[in-house]
Amino acid sequence: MHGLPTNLEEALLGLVREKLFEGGAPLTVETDLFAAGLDSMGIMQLMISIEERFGVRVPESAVTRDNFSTASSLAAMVRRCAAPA
Amino acid sequence: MTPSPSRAKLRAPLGGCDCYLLALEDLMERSGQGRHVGVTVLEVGRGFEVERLREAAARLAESQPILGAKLQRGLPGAVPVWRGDQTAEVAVEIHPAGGDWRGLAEERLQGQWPGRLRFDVCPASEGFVVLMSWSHLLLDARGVELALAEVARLGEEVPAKPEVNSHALPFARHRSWWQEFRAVRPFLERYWSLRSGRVVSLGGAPARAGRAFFKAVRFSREETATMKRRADPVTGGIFALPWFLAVTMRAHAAVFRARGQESGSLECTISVQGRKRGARGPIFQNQVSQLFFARPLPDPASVENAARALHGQFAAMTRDKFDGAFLVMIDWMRRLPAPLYRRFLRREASGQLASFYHAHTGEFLPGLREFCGAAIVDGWHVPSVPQPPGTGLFFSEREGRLTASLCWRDGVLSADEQALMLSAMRADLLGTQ
Repeated sequence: MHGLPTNLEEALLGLVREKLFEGGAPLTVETDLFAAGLDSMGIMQLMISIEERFGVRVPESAVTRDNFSTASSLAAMVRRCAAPA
Repeated sequence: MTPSPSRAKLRAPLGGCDCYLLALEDLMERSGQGRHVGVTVLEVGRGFEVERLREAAARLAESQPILGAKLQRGLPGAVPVWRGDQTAEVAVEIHPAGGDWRGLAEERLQGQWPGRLRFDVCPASEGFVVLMSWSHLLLDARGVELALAEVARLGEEVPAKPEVNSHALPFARHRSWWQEFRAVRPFLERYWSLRSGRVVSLGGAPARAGRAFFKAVRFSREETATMKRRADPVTGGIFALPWFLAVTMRAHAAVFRARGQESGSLECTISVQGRKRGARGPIFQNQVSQLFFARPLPDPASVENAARALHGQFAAMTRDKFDGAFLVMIDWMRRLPAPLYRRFLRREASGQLASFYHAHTGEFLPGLREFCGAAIVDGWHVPSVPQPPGTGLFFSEREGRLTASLCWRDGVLSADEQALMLSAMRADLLGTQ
């Protein structure tokens, strides 16, 4: 898992804020991103941004509501994607 | 009322998407189709205060000078701008109880009313139906909901937040022509690859006059839950876009089949929002990009397979940053003289690129429970579709209830074809025949 930041949850939250949500949105690592307005386009954009920022490949099977529901669950998914097979 | 310090100084250049819609409206007006407008239907419960709406509409007009601005096209090569310092009147008209609000909505869809925003209030059996009619030159679907939220806010006695009237463009400009060319390349490549097929629409190629009509299909919460369960294995519960696009494509294909016509190359441009989630503005500016989808060939035998194939196109376009490429392209095109822009659009809209219009605008007014003193019961959008392509199928949800709006131009769909399209849609959504 080389290359992933130590505080991956916060890094992902920063990415979510930067790419998808208005700057003042009150988001935490446990905020329900779907309740906050995450939609089809946002999920796709987030998936591509994660791949580009963290150098991991997110397989289609990993793009689920559970994995994309919070920054915490995203972090767990990214760690799994980065782990050696 | 809240005076705006920028009141006398409004000079708002049109964004790329605004210019695209201006060219489309030009095309519609030249072929006798009227303005490009939409009607948003808002059902509210008892306790609705009409005077509160009047006051809020007046505050909105005062705080948003663009509502009273005039469009100036300027010299050839100049970007059109909104200019003005006049306060618009946002009309609020009360209609007698027992009237036909659907007929009124259809009348408003023809665009023959002054101004760019108006409200009609129709008493209904369990409350009121509020129709907000709007010009597409100023509002996209998200903008419509932001405007309704702003009216709701201005209907409160003490507005807690400042008004929103920014007209900032939704994307960063590139530094050089080379960078811009590289950014726009994914659009050009897909655009030319799609043009290799013969694209058809139910209305046929020539632009022609015809009244705008609609039918709204309201699904119950139980039906909506059934649809979601049915779609979940394909969408993962999160990708509504390819699923509803597949339903729309297949509903159109059913009508082509019934006509005995080949529908091999159905194509559709899907608008995607440029505003970030949670943004309160800008309200009166179109901030959408577009994705260009093609019907998967050979024709998938099921909605599931069609949705999977469209999902693949969606993923590929997102990876290529196609939405950003389209924004750069239409930003370039802002300076096109109107006749040239129309010429480009006629090539695009004459049935060669868009076979129909479609959108799923997601949850309607999420987070807003009340409007001018009454609970919001339901709401959905009804846009007037241009001919060509002459048809569109639009979806939105409110608190677990899906609404579908079938929109068409007079002469494009017969009554039997309307029924067939809606029946095909229901069959795919609910898994019934």
